[in-house]
Amino acid sequence: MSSNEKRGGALSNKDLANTFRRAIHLNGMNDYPGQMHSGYTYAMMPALKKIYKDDDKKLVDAYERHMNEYFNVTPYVSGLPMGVTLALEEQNAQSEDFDTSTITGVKTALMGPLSAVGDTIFHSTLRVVAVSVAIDLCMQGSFAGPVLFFLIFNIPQVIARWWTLKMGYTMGTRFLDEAASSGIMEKISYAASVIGLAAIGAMTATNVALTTPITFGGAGDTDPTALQALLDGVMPKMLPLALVLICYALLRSKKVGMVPMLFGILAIGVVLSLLGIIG
Amino acid sequence: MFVSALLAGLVVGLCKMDYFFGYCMLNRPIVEGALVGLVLGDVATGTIIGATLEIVFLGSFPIGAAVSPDGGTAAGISTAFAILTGAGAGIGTTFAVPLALIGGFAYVLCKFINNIFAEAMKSQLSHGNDGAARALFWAGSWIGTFGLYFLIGFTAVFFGSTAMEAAVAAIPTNVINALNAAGNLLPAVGFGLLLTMVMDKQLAPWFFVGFIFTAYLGMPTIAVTLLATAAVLLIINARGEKNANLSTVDMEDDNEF
Repeated sequence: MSSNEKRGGALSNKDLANTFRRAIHLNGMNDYPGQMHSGYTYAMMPALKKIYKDDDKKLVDAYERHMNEYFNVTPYVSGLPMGVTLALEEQNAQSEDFDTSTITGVKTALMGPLSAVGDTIFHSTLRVVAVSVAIDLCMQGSFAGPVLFFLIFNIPQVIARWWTLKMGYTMGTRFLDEAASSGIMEKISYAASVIGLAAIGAMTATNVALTTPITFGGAGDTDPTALQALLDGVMPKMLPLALVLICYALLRSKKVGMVPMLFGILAIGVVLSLLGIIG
Repeated sequence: MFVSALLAGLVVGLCKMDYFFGYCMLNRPIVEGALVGLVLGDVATGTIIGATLEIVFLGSFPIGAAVSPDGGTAAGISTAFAILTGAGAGIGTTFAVPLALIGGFAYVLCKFINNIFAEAMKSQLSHGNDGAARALFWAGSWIGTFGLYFLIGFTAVFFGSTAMEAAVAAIPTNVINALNAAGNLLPAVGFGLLLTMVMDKQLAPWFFVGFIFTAYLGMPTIAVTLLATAAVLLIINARGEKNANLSTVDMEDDNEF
């Protein structure tokens, strides 16, 4: 907050809280030319009105600037570009010859790298960890499972929304430079990947059901040998693991897409099951 | 049936408002299946279908402009089918894939509707009418998303349930069992897709660590997640100490920090 005063910021915590509340709806009206541009403008409107309270022309310019610009970012970290652009809009309000293309430039420059970090942390890790914690309860049919998932995911994301907005407004792009030089981002994404991978490994063992009823031998007075028992003796859940790794290899090679693979596995699964090979 | 379809449609529509409500994962199968189960009076079935489909679509989430299968809407409608026809959770999962495709493509239409409101919003803002722009944003969000997906959910459940019931009755039992067995394989696709996003050579052993603890020792998933968290904290701390000790020497090892 002290740095806020240093920069002569016109926006109070209350104004930022209002932007934060509106930014919840950021992706509410996504469309093709501009993705989240409508939501971005909607979230910025009251703060812009306050920043340009004496200058209707500049206010309309600012509205149009954000409305006409393509914007797309992981919504949970959208506070950072919003905070930074609010600070820049303030500079524009105070000076006569501010180059407004800076505002566009900063927004565009932030989207890519920020989404890369945001998607890793929230979509491919926090969501997966939340699923991994809730999944056993869910499979027992307990409503506590989805509730747990919802809380584990949403408490951190709401905090991240407020924190990035505050940091963006008070520190500007300096925030990203400091985060990069301290190595905190690498640590977080390393930790996120490790935890996510271990969770996926554990879920592979419990949530893919693939066994074989094949037996062999058993002629005369010997009992038939179950293939599944042999496989379990070597490595339990060997077949689910193999299936996941095959899917991974095919998807990674980009020879098969997700949707054809889903249909393909359904078809192959039905045939193998009818033939008595799996099930 | 009308009331059930109405309730299911309302849940499907509201869950698709996920993006409007802060992208809080309402439109994920794990949440949407359970909520449809809740309003139709069978929470357990909804939760199980939702959780199963969550894993099938674990690696599939909308990033950027690409159309991705809508597992959430599929979970909502499949849950309604499973509960209303009494077909059970297994069949519910099997029919979810085509539903997810329909839900995904419908979002393209949703974006076109949104664009009409966005253009109107733009012209209001060029006259400085922020009140009108605000109203247009809300109207666009609710009509384009809630309106469209309510219709999809309601129509699918109202007209689909009877057809579904007839189809399930007509399919022989061994084919139903085969469909169930095949449905159980689908989560592998979700894990596979997610692995393409997070796994690289250096990190790959962690996947096997998680697998081994659960497959051989029967450790619950929560325990594995906690264990991995503890392990990664120890590693990061150890690296920090090592870096501090070697601060005068150039780093020789090739770790990514």
